[in-house]
Amino acid sequence: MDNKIDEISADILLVLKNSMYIGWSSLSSLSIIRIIYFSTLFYSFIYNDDSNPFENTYTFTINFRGPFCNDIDKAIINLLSRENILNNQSQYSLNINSLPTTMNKLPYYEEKETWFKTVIKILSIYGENKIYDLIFRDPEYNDKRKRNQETISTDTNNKSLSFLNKFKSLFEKNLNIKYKSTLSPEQYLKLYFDYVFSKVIKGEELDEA
Amino acid sequence: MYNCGENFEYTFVNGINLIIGGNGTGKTTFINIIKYALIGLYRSSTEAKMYKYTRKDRRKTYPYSYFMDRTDKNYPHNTDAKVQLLFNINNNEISITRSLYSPKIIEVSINKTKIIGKIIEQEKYDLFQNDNERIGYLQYNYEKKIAGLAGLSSFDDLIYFIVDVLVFDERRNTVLWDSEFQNNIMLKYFTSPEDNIKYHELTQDIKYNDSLSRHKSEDARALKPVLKELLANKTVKNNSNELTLNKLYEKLELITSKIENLILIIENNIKKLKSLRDSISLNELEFQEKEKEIEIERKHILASIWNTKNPKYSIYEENIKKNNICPMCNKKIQNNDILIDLNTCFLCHQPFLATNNKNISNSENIKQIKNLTFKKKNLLVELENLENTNKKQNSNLTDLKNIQLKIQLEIIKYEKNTNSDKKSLNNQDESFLIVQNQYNQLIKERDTFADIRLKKEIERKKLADKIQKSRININKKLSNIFADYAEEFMGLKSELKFIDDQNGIERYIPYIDEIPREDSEALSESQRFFIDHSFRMSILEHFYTRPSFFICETPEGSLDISYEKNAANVFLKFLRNNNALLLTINLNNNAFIRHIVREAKKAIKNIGYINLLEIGKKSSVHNEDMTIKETFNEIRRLIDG
Repeated sequence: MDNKIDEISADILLVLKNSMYIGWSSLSSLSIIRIIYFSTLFYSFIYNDDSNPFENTYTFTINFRGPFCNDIDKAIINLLSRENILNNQSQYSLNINSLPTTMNKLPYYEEKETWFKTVIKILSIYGENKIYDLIFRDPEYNDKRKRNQETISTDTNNKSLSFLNKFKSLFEKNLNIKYKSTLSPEQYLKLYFDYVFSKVIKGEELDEA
Repeated sequence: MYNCGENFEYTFVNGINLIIGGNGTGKTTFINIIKYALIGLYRSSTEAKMYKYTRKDRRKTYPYSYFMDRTDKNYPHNTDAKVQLLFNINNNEISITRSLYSPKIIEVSINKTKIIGKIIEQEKYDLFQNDNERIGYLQYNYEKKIAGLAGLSSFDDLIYFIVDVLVFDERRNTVLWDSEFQNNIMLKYFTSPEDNIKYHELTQDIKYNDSLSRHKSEDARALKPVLKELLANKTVKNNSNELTLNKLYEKLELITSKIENLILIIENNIKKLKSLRDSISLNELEFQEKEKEIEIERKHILASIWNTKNPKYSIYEENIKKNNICPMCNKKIQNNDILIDLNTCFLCHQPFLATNNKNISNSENIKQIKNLTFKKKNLLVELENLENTNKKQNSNLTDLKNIQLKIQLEIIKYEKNTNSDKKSLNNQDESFLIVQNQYNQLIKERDTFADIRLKKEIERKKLADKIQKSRININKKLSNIFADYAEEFMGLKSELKFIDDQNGIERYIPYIDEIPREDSEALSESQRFFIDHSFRMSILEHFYTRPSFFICETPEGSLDISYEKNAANVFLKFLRNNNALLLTINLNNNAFIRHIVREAKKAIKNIGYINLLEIGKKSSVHNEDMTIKETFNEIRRLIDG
């Protein structure tokens, strides 16, 4: 079996498992893709000096609904065939009885699980519509769509990341810098998006930031 | 020199030219014949040398008997040995014929028009001191014409470029880590010819005047004790100059002491920087090792999770065996339609993968890699801080040296005044007058040369700043081309940055995998060579709008199996702009040659070769070795199809 598909299959199981904790008992493939996309994007945003553990595994392309990854679809089929996940009208849920027992031995398993938990929690606070809206505001996505280009990256050259980082400096000015190092990634992201969306509500243009 | 009959002819192709032969068959001699035909028997361009207060600008040469020492003494027509080279510069066809017996130009024509001039042996020509003596000679006219056609300020620039950039010979000199080379290249090619000439002249003048000033100063110093003794018996009318002079001496001593201390500190920092960089490199190696181990563990774990049978495989198998029903479509099957085997899959008939029951524990590796990452971050921060400190300290040193120079000039001024005061004293001593006059004359000459030197330094600094500004654009483009070549070989992110090195000199430093490789020893031998080739090819690609050429001797010598293809690909990349490569090959790394020939043929590049195993000087070892002949024949078959 292709190592990449194996890796992605394990990630999807983690995403579904952690989604259950906040009450999302099943997810569409689109939601799964979005969660993984934002996990990779926000990783670079928070840990900008470290190498992104998702970077080598995922290649995202553009379609009209936003970032898309063919390999995730393949991994879903793999999981269905092995009955690790169940399909109910294109909503996928975990089959608890057939979760691989040795998955927690994978390198960086705990770090990935914690990270997915953080991202899912953040996305759940603002709801999926807001996520969708954020994608449409995603400068990288729009730029590529206009230029009809196919692949997008989630490394530090990503336009969305530059955009978020530009906004980050303003946000951190408002934040008492003394406390920045004491914040967990989840707390940091929550405060950050509170700030971003408060700007949106007030009708202030994000790119004026 | 070669067993090829009386004449040998070879037409270079725009593509790959291979000179194939074992050790001692004449590969290097062949390359040197080409160089000789182009530029003469020179191994360096002009350098300024002081000889008994006279300035001499000389080029370094190979021994004048270089080719004659390599001939068969029994051959009766050695005196007629010559080389003719046809080449092209900016669409101008040049034909040059030089004697191999006694180095000199015999004939030159440009676009079929003969160049006039007196024929002279190079050994005699090299004795001339200036252009006035050289005018009228064929060698002088050739060099002037060629420099003009190539758009260079002098023929020396062409010598420099061919010897140091276009040819990578068996001396294995890498230029990327040579500050002097970088400085020269920037002057000659990153700078306008006029600025380049001016900078070169100023540098030679500074060196010359500095040398003269020091000589005069030493001579004056020798006279000083004598003068002091003579003065000791005289009354000094005016002491004020002496007092100021003493204060200046004190200041000078203080500043000199500060400078010496700062130099010690800087030297210490340089050692620390080196140690830090070594630590970073080591850390990086350890990190990569750990990552490899983690990757292996990851593969094992993924295999143990996913390389197992589908959960329903057993029941499907039972259905087939006991009910003779196909589990996929539910139709009845005959006994021999599907074969059930314990060790192979009933659907695709491939053997089952063995599950690895190894007890894998990876938490230690992860912990270690986190520690290494943390350590790397801290080291990089420490490195950056130390580099900044070093930069500041170097700047302080420059400031102190400037203050020192000013004080020295003040001292000179006051010494002059003191001496003129002493002159006015009632002095009947003839010896004192003579010594004093000599001393004053020497001081005057010293001051004059020091003033000239200072003025030239200031002028050169201004020019350097002007040149620097124009280089920034070039630097960016050069770095991009370099990355293209270097990443092909290394398989890692590569960059060329123009920054201060540990000695405070601004130069190009290669960054491989985001780690500075300031010293050539930071890379293995083959990495060092190919990063150096990448740098040279970047220069060629950036500055030449027309096809150029690159000569490399036995590039396959230091390569191991992992890098053969990458090395070949670097050369193949160079061919993309219709450039020509000239490689000497001694057949000890067949995989490299096979790959380069195959890929060149795929890209429809021309391939030419010279077989020195046939025409070169073979030893008895070569004659008895069938392997080398077979290897050559294999390569020839590949080339000729």
